Amino acid sequence: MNSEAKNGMECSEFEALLAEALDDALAADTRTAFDEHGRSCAVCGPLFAETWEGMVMVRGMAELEPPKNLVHNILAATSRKAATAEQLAEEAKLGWLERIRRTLKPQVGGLMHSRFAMSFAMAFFSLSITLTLAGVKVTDVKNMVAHPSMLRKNAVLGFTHVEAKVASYYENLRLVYQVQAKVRELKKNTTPVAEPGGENRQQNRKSAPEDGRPKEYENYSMERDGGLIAQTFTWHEGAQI
Amino acid sequence: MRLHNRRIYNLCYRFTNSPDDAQDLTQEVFIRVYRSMASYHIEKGAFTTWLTTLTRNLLVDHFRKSKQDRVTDSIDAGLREEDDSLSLGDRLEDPRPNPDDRLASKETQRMVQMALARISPDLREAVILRDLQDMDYKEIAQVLRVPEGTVKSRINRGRMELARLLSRNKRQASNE
Repeated sequence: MNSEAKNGMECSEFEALLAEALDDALAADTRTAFDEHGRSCAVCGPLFAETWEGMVMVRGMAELEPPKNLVHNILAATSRKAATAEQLAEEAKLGWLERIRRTLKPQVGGLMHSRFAMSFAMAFFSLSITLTLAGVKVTDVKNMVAHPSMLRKNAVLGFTHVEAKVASYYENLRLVYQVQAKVRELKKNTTPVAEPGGENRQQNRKSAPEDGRPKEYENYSMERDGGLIAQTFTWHEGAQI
Repeated sequence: MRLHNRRIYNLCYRFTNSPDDAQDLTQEVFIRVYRSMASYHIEKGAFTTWLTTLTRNLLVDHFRKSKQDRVTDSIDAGLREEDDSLSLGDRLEDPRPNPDDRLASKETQRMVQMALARISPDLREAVILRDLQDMDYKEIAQVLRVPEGTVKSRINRGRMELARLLSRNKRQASNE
């Protein structure tokens, strides 16, 4: 496109006005200058003709009839989408308990009768106590319901927790037994065992009664065990000698 | 929906040159309309402009996905689609007098459609919106998000390219 001015109009100006000219939207004097430039310019004349031809061709295209089932398909698709969206919005408002109830309703609808309610309540109460004793928290159950994938994880964690508690209990118990056994052993080792004869025997001999009758002494500071019996028996023997 | 489905279908078909794609895209347009209806405000512009913008965005997405620079569909596809759009009764009651004229007109339309599919997408959408959807420059600028000057330039270039392609096709056809 050259920039030569012909009939008071440059080629760039002609091109800028091309769309309005084809729409017949130019003012009268501008239109006159435009037409004169188109007639005299070797570039802009064919350009206008080509553009006009293209426009006529495209505008001559008939409007197509959409397929018969298009409206039906759109209605079906949009009503399905709308129903799903409404359902999701409604479900989002519900609590987790209500969601469970609705999920279970088709299967166990008959069991939700009032005569079963107390049984269920008692069962639930027992279960909750058992779970509490086992160390399972209600928040864990809630999380498990909201995220079923957590079920296994929580079960393993709970089992490990209980197992650790039991192991710890028996470890402590064993320690207590071991301490008790050690104390008993120490006590046994530190207790003096009286030898038969020796000093005691001499003492007993010195203090023997003059009348020749054997006199039995009892050492009350000692326990009544085998040692004391042996000592008494030895003293009698010495007296007889 | 009943008011606009024909216009949207035509827009999609003229852009994609495929009746199946046009049907799928038209359906998708209305699904998106239902989803995003809340986001439309009258202050932003006419509903038709909003709907056309939505359709155009979808067409651009579709074009990017399919990377369809040139249409390679067979000639039969266009003829079959146009035949399928009319029922047997409609065809019997066709008011057009001369079968030869009908055939020539169909052939011309097919050639224009093929030429339209061969020009660049930027020019194609501008020409379709102006000459087939009869939108004004301001609305087209709003839909394409380009200045009005660019819209006019694209329309002119699109028309010129179409005319050149058609004349070339005619020459080829006459030589054969």
